[in-house]
Amino acid sequence: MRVPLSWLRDYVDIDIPAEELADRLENTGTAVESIVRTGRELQNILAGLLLECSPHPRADRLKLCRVDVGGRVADIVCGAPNAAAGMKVAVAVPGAVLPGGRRIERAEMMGVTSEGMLLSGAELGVNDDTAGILELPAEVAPGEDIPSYLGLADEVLELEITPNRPDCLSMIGVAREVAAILGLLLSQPLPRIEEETLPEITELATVQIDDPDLCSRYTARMIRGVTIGPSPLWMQTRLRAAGVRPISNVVDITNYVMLECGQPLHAFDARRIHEGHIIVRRAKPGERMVTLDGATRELDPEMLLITDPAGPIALAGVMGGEDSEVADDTTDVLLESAHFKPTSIMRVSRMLGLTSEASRRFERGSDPSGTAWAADRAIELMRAYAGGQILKGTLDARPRVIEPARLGLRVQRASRLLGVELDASTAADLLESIDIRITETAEEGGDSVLHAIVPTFRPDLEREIDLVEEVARLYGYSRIPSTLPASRGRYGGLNQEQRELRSIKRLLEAAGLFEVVTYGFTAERVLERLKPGMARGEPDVVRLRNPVSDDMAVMRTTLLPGLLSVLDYNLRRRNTELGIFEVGRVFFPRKGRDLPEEPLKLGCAMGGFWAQKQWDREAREVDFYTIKGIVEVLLERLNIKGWELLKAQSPWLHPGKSAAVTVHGALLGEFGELKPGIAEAFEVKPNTQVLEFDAAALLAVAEHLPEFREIGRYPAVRRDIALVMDEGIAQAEVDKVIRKAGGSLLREIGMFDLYRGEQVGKGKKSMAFTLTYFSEDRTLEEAEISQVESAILDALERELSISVRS
Amino acid sequence: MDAESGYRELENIARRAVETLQAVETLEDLEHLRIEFLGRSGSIARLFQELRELDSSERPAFGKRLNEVKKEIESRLEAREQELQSRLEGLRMSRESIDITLPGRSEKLGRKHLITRIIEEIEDIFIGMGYQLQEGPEVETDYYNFEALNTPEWHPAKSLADTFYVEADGAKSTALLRTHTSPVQIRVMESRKPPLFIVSPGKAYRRDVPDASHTPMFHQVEGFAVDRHITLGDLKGTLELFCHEIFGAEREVRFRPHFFPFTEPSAEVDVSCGICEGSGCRLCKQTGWLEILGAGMIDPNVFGYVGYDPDEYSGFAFGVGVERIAALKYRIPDIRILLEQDFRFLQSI
Ligand SMILES: [Zn+2]
Repeated sequence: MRVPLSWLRDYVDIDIPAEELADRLENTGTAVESIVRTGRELQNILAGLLLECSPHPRADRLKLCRVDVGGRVADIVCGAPNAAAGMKVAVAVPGAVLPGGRRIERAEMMGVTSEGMLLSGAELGVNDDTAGILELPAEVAPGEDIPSYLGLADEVLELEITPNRPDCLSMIGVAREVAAILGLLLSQPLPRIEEETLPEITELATVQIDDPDLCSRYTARMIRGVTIGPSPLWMQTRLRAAGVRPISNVVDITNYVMLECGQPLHAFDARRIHEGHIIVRRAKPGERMVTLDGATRELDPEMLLITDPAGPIALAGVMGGEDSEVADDTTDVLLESAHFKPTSIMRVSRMLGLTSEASRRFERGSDPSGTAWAADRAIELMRAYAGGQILKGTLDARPRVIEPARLGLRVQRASRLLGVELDASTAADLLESIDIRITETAEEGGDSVLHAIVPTFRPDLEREIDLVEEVARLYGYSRIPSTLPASRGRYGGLNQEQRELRSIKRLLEAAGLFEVVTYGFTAERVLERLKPGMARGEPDVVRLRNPVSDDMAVMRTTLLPGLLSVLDYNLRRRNTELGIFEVGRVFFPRKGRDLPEEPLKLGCAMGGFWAQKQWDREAREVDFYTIKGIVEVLLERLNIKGWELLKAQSPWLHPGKSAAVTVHGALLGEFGELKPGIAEAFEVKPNTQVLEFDAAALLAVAEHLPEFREIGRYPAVRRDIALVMDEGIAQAEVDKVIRKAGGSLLREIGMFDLYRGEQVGKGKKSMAFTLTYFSEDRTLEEAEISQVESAILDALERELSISVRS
Repeated sequence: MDAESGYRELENIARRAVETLQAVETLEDLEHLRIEFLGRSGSIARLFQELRELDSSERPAFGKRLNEVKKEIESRLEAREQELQSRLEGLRMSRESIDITLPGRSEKLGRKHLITRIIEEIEDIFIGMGYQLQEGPEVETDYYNFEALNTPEWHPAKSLADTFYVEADGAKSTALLRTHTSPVQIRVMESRKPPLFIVSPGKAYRRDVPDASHTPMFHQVEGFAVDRHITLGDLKGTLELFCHEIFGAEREVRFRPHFFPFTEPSAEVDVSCGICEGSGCRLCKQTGWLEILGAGMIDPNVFGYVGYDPDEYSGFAFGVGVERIAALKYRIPDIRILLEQDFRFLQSI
């Protein structure tokens, strides 16, 4: 809402600078987006009387004009075809500055000196007219300062009006706020219809409301014999400053009064209304009409129409019809000032995708008591600026009177809610300052209750709490002391799961991975690429009804789309050494339930180099064991015991370089290298490794409170063994045999070498281990250890045909 | 030897020892000097031999002096030895010196995302004030996201242009991607009784066209407190403390009345601009203030939905935009970078 201060001053005597006013408005709930100053650059633009107009001796199209600019006469060359003696004009004298900073100086024009320039409406910025010079009203005196005469120099507040305040979508509404805040009086103009002529309006027009629920009131007035033309300059200037384009006197007046009081008005060409009979009703199925934007609209019984016996003439509150609109040859105007049900207007405007200044006001709630005032005000202005004769009387169909709300405000209760001690008279004064009437202050139930009558222009005030808010904002939030809630035996903190999730993130950052945050939605084809068949036709993916694009059309069922796109994105930007993780939800529909399942997943991805070559170190490329290292760190730090690796099932994993992690049969997640085809399709490195764990499964098996074990104070003994075995034997098999044979003294098995080559022969490999032994109760004897060791070697020989490497 | 020549010689030895010990430059030469003065046939030993020749009345005094000189030489020898030792070690170490400017060896270190760190920072501030954490689903029903939060059926935010709706499995579904983290309020109040002091971080979704301050997915921390006697003053005090913790105690905080469907009275909260300190600059659009969050007293209608008596309980709620806090705190001009995941950004901040 754009509010020119010069306009606002019509209703309230603002005596403080614009910035201060803006601050005061902000602090009472009317946000000021900006203060725009217009016309400040304008200088030396004066009113002039064209005394004489003679042809230029050397140019046909130019005229020599003698202009009285107040006390002196200027000779000005002018090319405007409409320049004629006797006109009042706007003159830019030498030294003038026009809108946009254009400067005007004395100039030579075809051998004649021109002392300035006569201005068109466009040059002055009051309208779009470039065809001729602007003619000013006869009343203006030569020498008068034009910017101030036309109100071109102004300050315009750009207000953000919250949806609950339809009353502030008007100058008078804002003025009421300003008056309340500054403690000033609001002076609202009183329309006086002085000249009414016969016949009575009732002889020419009738109004019938068929749907009182959607239209509680329909007020109309008529004027005959108007002349359609431009509206007065001051009105055009104000409309422009408020952001409305001037069209013609009659239309401008409807807009002007709407901006002034918030009541949308519609002017019909009265001759186009069949039988002068207006029927307000819902549309019939299949009915159509052409709106004034030229579009043919299919109507729906949800829509309220203004009709005559021949058919629709307007979409109530939203847009007029083409047939009945005011045209250049219109002489008789029927002016509509109605009240419509806000939700109905909103629905219709959504259905048709049509919004207007009028619909915006109706859908937030216009004042049902204000229709007659607005009609009087507009018809008065029409007579003044479009001529004609006002018909006697007003049509005012009002099948349903919307009464002002009566509310009670418990003052002590309000004080307790706000945290500041207010007395009844303070609260009453604040409410009365915005025209809420307090009829009585009563002692009821141990509280002082204000009985309030809320004016109908405040449809947002329906409950006691609404009055509490009015009191609070007018009292000033800044005057309410800041406190903290009293403690009632509460304590703050994270629960165990929240703590562990934080520590998992900390662990992964310490392991060298960067956390990423990616979108919850993805493209169906991306899921399809990862898991053919997963999204097609099956109800196992959550789809959006109204995605912004195909790339964000379904909810992810795995974190992989996001993780892989981050790798791809960074590779394209030549970022290397990529190791990332994400903790986020994935989504699976649940049969027969409204809401999907949202398991929290932990995902990692890495590819290319884990570390580049450094001055003292070779480059390390990512492989299966890099991601496995992350898995092991996680399992170890969460104290997850007894985990096993099984064959992974994820269709995106390389079957020979991946694994599923389970604990007692429960799947925690899977990890490993991407299938070559998948890596290629996502444009990531062929060695890309991924991991996806279920956070709940992980935390379910984590040992949150590891058991204390005596470590003893006797030294450990370490022995190395090197073994030769068939290529097909897995490290875990060897580990298992060693562990079993090693018994209670063997505490740790560390593998330090893996060798394949000539020394061990074809089809064979060698593994070397460091075995650590210790006991809590004694220093181990050499013989004891040797005994265990040979038991281990025997078992290896017996069970896996593994021999000691010589 | 008579006493006189004895003393003379002793003082000579003492003087010579001081001079030569000062001049000696190697440990080897020092050893020679030790032998010369203190060796079994050194000058001091020789004088001890000759001590016996002195008159018995002069022997104690001379003996005493002789011992003094001996101790003096011993301590000087030792001091000089230490000096020479450490000089030697210094020389050796200087030959061993390396290029300390070569890069050090370390394992890779990753980082939590800035969004996570800000969420944790916010959580911790409220945990310190006695709040607990509670998360809610990202796919919500219309009831939790709008209706129970007192958002009327016709509210523009509910339109297909603003809110993502989920395709229904045949039947009419009201499932949607939550547009804020506020539904957690309802879920918690439905299942628990006051006192409630809860913060709820998470993702939310709106059908916004991405620009410098909007992305279709974003993060919010919802917070609310419900108990007997919770006041608007409590809301002010709580959020002032929060703003000071996040942005610094020198920043001013102001509360402007505003409108939200689920709170009344409502407020928008600003902090004074950290760049211009309130005098006006581009960041704060010349206002001197930066809008931080929306808040208010929980609307009695919301209590109605969860069966709380608004005359018994009152409460406040607020919603903090995590990206907004990140943008202001770290002066990030365009929040889209937070979801781009460019490593250069992830590593730098
Ligand atoms: Zn600033």
